[in-house]
This record gives sequence, C-alpha cells and structure tokens, in this order.
Amino acid sequence: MIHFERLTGFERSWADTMVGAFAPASGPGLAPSLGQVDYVGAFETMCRSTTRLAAVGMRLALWLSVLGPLLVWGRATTALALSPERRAALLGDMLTHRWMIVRELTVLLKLCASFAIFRVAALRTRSHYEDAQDARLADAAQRTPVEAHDELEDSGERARVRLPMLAQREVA
Amino acid sequence: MGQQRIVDETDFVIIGTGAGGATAARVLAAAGHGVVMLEEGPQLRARARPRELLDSMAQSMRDFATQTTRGGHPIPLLQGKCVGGSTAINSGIIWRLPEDVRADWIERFGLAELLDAQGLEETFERLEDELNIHETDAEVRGGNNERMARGAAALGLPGRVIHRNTKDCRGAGRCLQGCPNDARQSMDVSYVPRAIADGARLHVRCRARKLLLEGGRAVGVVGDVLGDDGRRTVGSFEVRARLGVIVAAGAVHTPVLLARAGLRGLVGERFQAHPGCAVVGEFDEPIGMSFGATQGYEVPMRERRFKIEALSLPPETLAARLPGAGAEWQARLAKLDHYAQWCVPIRMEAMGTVRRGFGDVPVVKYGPTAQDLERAREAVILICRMMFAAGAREVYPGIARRPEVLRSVADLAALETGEVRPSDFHMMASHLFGTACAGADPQQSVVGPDLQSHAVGGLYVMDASVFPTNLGVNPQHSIMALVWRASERLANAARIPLRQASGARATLRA
Repeated sequence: MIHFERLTGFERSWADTMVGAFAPASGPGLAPSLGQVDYVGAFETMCRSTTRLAAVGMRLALWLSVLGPLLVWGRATTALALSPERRAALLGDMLTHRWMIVRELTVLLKLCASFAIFRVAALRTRSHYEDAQDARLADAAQRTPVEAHDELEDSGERARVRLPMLAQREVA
Repeated sequence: MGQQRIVDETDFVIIGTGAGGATAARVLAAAGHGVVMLEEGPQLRARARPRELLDSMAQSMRDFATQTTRGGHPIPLLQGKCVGGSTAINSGIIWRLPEDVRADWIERFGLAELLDAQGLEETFERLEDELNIHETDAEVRGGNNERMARGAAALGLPGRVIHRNTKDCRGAGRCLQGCPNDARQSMDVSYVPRAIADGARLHVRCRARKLLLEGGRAVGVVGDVLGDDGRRTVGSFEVRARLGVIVAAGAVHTPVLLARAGLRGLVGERFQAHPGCAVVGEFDEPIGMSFGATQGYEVPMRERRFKIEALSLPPETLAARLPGAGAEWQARLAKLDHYAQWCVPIRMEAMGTVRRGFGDVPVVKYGPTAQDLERAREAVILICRMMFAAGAREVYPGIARRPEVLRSVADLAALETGEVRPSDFHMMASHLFGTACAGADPQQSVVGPDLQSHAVGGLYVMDASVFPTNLGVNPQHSIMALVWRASERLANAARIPLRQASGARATLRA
C-alpha cells in the first residue's frame, strides 16, 4: 500500500521551505524566527488526517509550488532557488492564478502554514488574536479573590487562570 | 496483539451519536428500551479538546474537512466525527422548522402525522427546555456579533440575535474546536450522557460496515473497531437488535450503509445542502473575534434563500482567509484582532447524489446551479455593504477573478458585473440533507412517515437524510424534533415491560 502521508526526505525539506515561504523569517509583521515553526509536522499531520485524495492533493500542491516559477512565470528554475521574497511573491501569484486548481492547491499550503504558525503560543500572542479573550480573563481575575486562583488550566504553552463559578457568572 | 471483539445485544442499536442518533437514544432509553449507540469517532472531554485547530480538527472532524463533492469544483463537506457528531463542532444555532417547509412536506410528501402542528410545537418546547435554548446573552456577544448588528442596523436589514443551546456560556469563542467549558449543550454533553444514565450503552471507535438482515428485517450491525488514530482497524464488533436498527450516520454515510444493505430506489438521491462562503473585513479598531459566541447574530433573508451569520474563526482559518503571501500577509497577521468575518449559508436549489464508491467510500456529486451562484454573488455583495456600513476600512470578498481587497462601496461594482462560475467561490457545506427521503409514497421516498424503511422492517433512518428538502435554516433543532416524535411512536409501538428485554450486557474480549 502507498502511504501518501509519508514524505520523502527531499519532500520534507521542500515542505519546510515552501510552506515556510508564506511567512519568511526576514519579513515584517508576524515573522517567525528560524526553526520556530514546525511546518513539516503540520504538513504530515494534515496528510495523515485527510482523505487519501486530499493527501495526494497536498503532495501535488508541494510539487506544484516547487515547480511554480516554470508553471506560473515560465522561468526555467525552481522555487527553491529563489530568494525568500521572490518565493513569497510566487505563492502570491499562485493564490490568484487563473486556474482554479493552482489557486486551491496553493490555499492548501497556506492553510498548512497557518496551522503551523498558530500552534506556537508566542506567535498567537504576537498576532493579538486572543487579546479580547485575555482582557476578559484578566478583568475577571481582578474581581476574583486571590485564594480562588487555585487551578491552572494548561492549554499548550500558556497557562490560564481557571475561575470559580461565581466569578465566571459575574463576568458573563 | 489480539484483535478486539465486541459483541452486544439490545432492543435498539443506533449508528451515530449526532442530533438524530442521540435524540433517538435519549427517547428510547427513557422509555425503558435497551439501547446501544455506536460512534465511529472518539469521546472527547472538554479539557482534552485542544485550542489549536490543527489538533482539534484532526481529533473531531471527519477527514479533516477534506471530504468534498466530486467534480471540477469540489465543495468541502464539514461533518463531526466524535461523540455528539456535528453538534459537537457547530455553533449551536437553533431554528425551528420553518412553517413553509412544514407545509410543503405535508402537501408533497404526506408527512402530516409526523409534522402535526401541535405535537411539533410541544416537542420543540420540550427540546428548548431540556437543552436550555435561548437568545445569546448580551454579555457574551462579543465584537464580531455586535459589529454585524451595527452593519445590519445601518442598512435597515432584519437582523436578530441567534438562539443557541448553551448553559453558562463564557464566550470562549471556541465552538468549532469543541467548547472548552461544556457550555454548549451538544449531544455529547446532553442526550448521550442522559441516555447512558437511562441504561443505554455507548461503543466508541466503532465504524458500522454492514447492516444484518434476516427474513426481510434488520436485526443488527457489524463493523470495525478502530484504533486510537481513528483509522487503523484493531478489531470487529457485532451488535444484535431485537426491535430495530436505527441508522443516523448523516446524509453522506447513511445512504452508503443503506445501499450496502441492498436498498435501492431513491437511496442516495436528492442530496441537498446549504453551501456557503464568507467575507472578511478589517476595521481600524479591534473587533476581538476571540471573545464571544462564535455565532451570535444573523440576518435571515428567507425570501432571497440565504441567511447572513457572524462567524468568528479561529486564528488559523482567519489567517488563511486573509489575502496575500509574504510581507503583505505577515503585516495582516500581526493584527488579527482587527478582523470580522461574516458568512452566508445559501438554500441552494441544486440536487446531487451520494453513491457507494470503492471501499464503501461515499462519492458525493453536487454542483450549484447558475441561479445558486447568482444568489451567492448577491449575498457576498450584501455582506460587503454591511461591512462598510459597520465601519470596515478594507473588505475581502473572496471571489476569484475579482479584486481581492475592496476599500469602498464604489469598489463593489467589480463584483456586480460579469459571469460568476462555481470556481469563483470558496464554498463549504455543513448542512446536508435528503439522501433517504421520508414520505408516504414508497415510489417517492426511502422511509415512511414513521421513518421506517419502506423495504426492510425494523430498519429506521433518523438523521437529516430523511428531510425531503433543504430548510434554509440551521437543521439541528428540526432533526431532533422529527426524531423525537418518531422515536416516541417507536417506543410506544414496541412497548414492552420495562427492562425485561434489556438484560444483555456488552462483552469485550481482547
């Protein structure tokens, strides 16, 4: 049986480069540092969890992105030979390509990049996504007696205060 | 290592623990019947549900939401695969069966008895009471919902606060990953435990493969026991049912089981859905999508066959929805609290089919009609208008071959003209119906008004497969109500002395 979820050695390296190309370490805004994000792990988790057809699609997306300069720009080179900025530009062009299959497969890679990036608690914090939730919890914690903070809920890398029911009702 | 073998016997075996299966279990078990529930997915505890979407989707969504319709323009089909089914990963939106749909089903499909107005009213009231269904509390509406209310008001649209099945919701904004506080009264925290308390048994990681038929009656189910990865087969099971087999595996998998049992006719036909797409807007001030009800406000446009809903996405899917790659994308990622997202499920007129493919993998063929696509365009344009009316500085309509970023209402002209193709939209569908249609006429339906198969005695279908048409509203409440009424009748028809026939216990051999 063919195991579509298992990448070869060079595909793992491609996955790290191409999925990571959506948010290069050298970029502005939310730029992960080198090695901070496990793109390959996310890619393989997706391949393992999807339908077999979708796992084939993921592999196809990877190959398509590597061969993107030839397919999209008509340039006889691979995306691996491009600078991080040019690689990101290539992916941007693929996301708006006139062929649906190119767009959709590139979206799969972008999803994979997002899954991987937001698995890192520090990057979630830097995105400010959870600011509203955090503010709510901090506000609740302020109104809760100190001795009530007896349990910590471990959700990934960031611990959160778990509130007693009275305080929760007060917040809600 | 030895293979697991589960053997069980009961009055009723139920395949699936979603809105249909769990409600049937709740009613039948309370009536004193023996019930065994089979669930292909795992049982997830609130504290074990990860916040990170990669892990939560792998755990609780069927095929990581990559099960799609076939054809040139695949539409992903979202279904839960865990105890509670899709009710464990939805936003808990509750709507009663619309009156026009009820009238249509009575007139065209002969379902008057099942849909008797007074009986249905009483059932809805009971469900609403048991599942604590109420308007989303003001304290947990959150910025995304409130901003949508502002946009609707500015355009004079008929918006309303969504009714949900929640108890002590704290606005965690994680309905789609599974409520971390068990506030949503999905089946895994409501009717499944209630049925178990009434004596029902639950076998998880059990994938039904085949219905057992003897003498023209359904008498049991056999299938595979799955390992912790949810894919590897580690054993087999056989559950025999003295009184009936209830299939509630959802509109995609139910017809596959029925077809394998030899049922023909309209099995797998009339597949319908509410596919939808979404629009994201960026605001100058923080919206704070992470706090509040995942879906707490809506604008029903019933006469136009769509309904606009606020939908707070986890950061992963929100990020993937933002335009660009590289620097442009990274700049947007650094201010994820400034985005709002609203979506639109569409009551499409398209019909498709579900067939049994190689290895019993369902093959879903379905594609929107030209009229459906025009509705999608109309809805997306309306959402964009609402976004601008609510103060958005940029809006991302998400229609291919059109501008990715709109900066004013004037930019909407680019969406209003030109042909729209199926490939232009990123659609998803989560409300699926019709593949084992109910009706009085065996030529026009698969099951009768009592939801029993016309062809096989003792075989019942109790999920959205039995809906003759789509609804235009969220179906969970209607599924539960119809199944409740059919189960009550079944419980009474199969009246036996309490517990007399329920003595059997499961055996697990490793």
